[in-house]
Amino acid sequence: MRVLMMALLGAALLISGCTRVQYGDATATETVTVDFGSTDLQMIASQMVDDLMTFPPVVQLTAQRRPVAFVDRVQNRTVEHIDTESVTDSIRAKLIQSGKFRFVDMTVVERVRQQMDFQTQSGMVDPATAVTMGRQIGAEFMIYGALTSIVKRDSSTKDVYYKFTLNMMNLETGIIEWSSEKEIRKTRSRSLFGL
Amino acid sequence: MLFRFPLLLAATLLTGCATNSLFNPYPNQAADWKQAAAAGQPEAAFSRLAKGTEGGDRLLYLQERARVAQITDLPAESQQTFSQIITLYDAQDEQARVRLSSAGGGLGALMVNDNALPYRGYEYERIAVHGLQAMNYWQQGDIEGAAVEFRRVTLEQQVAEQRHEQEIGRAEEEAAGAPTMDDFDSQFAGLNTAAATVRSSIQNPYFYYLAGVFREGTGNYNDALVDFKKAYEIMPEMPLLQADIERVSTLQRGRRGSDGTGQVVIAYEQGYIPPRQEISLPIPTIHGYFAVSFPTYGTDMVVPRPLQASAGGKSAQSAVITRFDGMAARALKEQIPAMLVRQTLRAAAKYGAQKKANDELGLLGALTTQIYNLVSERADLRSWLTLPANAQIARLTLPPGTHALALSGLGGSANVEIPVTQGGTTLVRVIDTGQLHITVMPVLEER
Repeated sequence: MRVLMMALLGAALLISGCTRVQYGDATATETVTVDFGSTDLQMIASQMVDDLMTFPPVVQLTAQRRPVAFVDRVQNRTVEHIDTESVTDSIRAKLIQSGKFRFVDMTVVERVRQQMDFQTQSGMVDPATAVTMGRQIGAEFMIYGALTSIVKRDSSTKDVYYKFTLNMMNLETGIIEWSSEKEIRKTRSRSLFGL
Repeated sequence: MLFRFPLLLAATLLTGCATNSLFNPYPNQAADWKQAAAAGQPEAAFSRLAKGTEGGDRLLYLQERARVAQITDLPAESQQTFSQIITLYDAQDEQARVRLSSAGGGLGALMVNDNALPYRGYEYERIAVHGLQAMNYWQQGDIEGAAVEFRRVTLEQQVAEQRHEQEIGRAEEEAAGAPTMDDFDSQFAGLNTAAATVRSSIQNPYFYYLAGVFREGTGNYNDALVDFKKAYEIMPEMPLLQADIERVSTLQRGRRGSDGTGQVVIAYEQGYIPPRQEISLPIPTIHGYFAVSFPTYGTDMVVPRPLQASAGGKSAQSAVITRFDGMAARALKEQIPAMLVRQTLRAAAKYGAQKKANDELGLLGALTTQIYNLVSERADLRSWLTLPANAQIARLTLPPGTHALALSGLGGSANVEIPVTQGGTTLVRVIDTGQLHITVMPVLEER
């Protein structure tokens, strides 16, 4: 009887134990579920950038100059709500870091316009320091892509296959200068016993 | 002494679950928020649901909450609640197949009744969660989000179909020896009739149709064609589908239907799904017959009534595409064999307790046990009750511009201004709870 009481007490202690916060490695492999996660994002971004930077025509292209590109969007064609903009943000950041490409950003055009209007029309900014309208550089390349998935599931396993496609198009000629695909496959088996 | 413990345990179990449906049948509780939703008072409904959304049956109460929010035109609220539900369903998939904690619930259920088991939802409900969630995203103009949910609808139906086939086979094996439904034909007459109105408890042509409309509207003709064909496969008597398939096939071949008109689709969700009722069946045990309660559906199903719609000199009448009431009945019917097995076990357990009480506890103890057995014998009447009884579709082809759409259905008449664009798709969603709740979705234009 006493043993039982002790066991119960022990269990109670375990349950009431306080929570703990820890810092972890942001690049550590995350395998909580098979859903799209941080590891997938990092894998896709770094592999895509490596692929682009080592592609011979691109190496040649960026040898003398830093072409201007913009990231269009990556279509989410999966069964999850994934922030694909976060993937393209990572890719863009890495490309800029490489020093080979320069980027313009379409998503902030409205706010830029507001600031320019303020500088030129509000009368509060010294015209000598105001930026001149119509001097922005046009992008030469457009980067766009899609993320698709195939999910198979039964009572004991779940298999997810992701395919990320990214293309870089020359806006003037319409030619896709570079394209690459990254695949990820994850499988989860359910345990037989558990709480 | 040994006998007192189970009684104590049972008493604790019972009082512990006082907030759920053990003693207050679920349909009685649901009447409150159904009424509040119909009257357009979401706050009243939410406060009534608040307690339940934290208990063991929170999946069920959250489903009600999300749907109430949708009926009362709070798409953001509804979307947030539905995401919570989707997380719960996904967590169910992740759970170990044999669970310690659910074995505990099973023990309680063996002594008390099925109401003591945590609510896990039905396949048709899970599919409806994704379908209705898609509408939330669509209404808020999040096209990519809606597309994700529509894909999820397809995925869940596939998974459910497959699991279903396996489970039915297994249930039939387990049920060997227990009484079967055929033994209680007359008692289950209502259930059988209702279940016969649909072909599947899983495949939901309404959501296929909405997905088709959505995908056609966004220019994905391949996917739209598949959706309309799937809907046609399940519901060939639906008169609009053939024309839909024809139109989308033409579009798919690259020929524009550029006659300068726009499509108006009216999605009509009528009434509330009927609550389950309780019947008592004599279950044979080794000790003789024992009266046991079962859930069933009555014979008084809501008969679908069409919605009349007219605008710009044209008029249309809606046609039934999905009987949610039939799907619920069919889902229940498929569970009855397993229930019969459980109830036979339960009847034996309760008989055992009664016999022991008679022998050992004297008159008072026996009486207490008798009362306990009577009171605890309640059928499991839980199911998502704010779903519509049926869904219907009507279509109008109108020239571009703003039109006054006149609607007249069971819940009254209404006029609503709708935008129509050339080659665009305007979805008007009408939820009829005795009142018409009308939402005009953002117009879809091919991109």
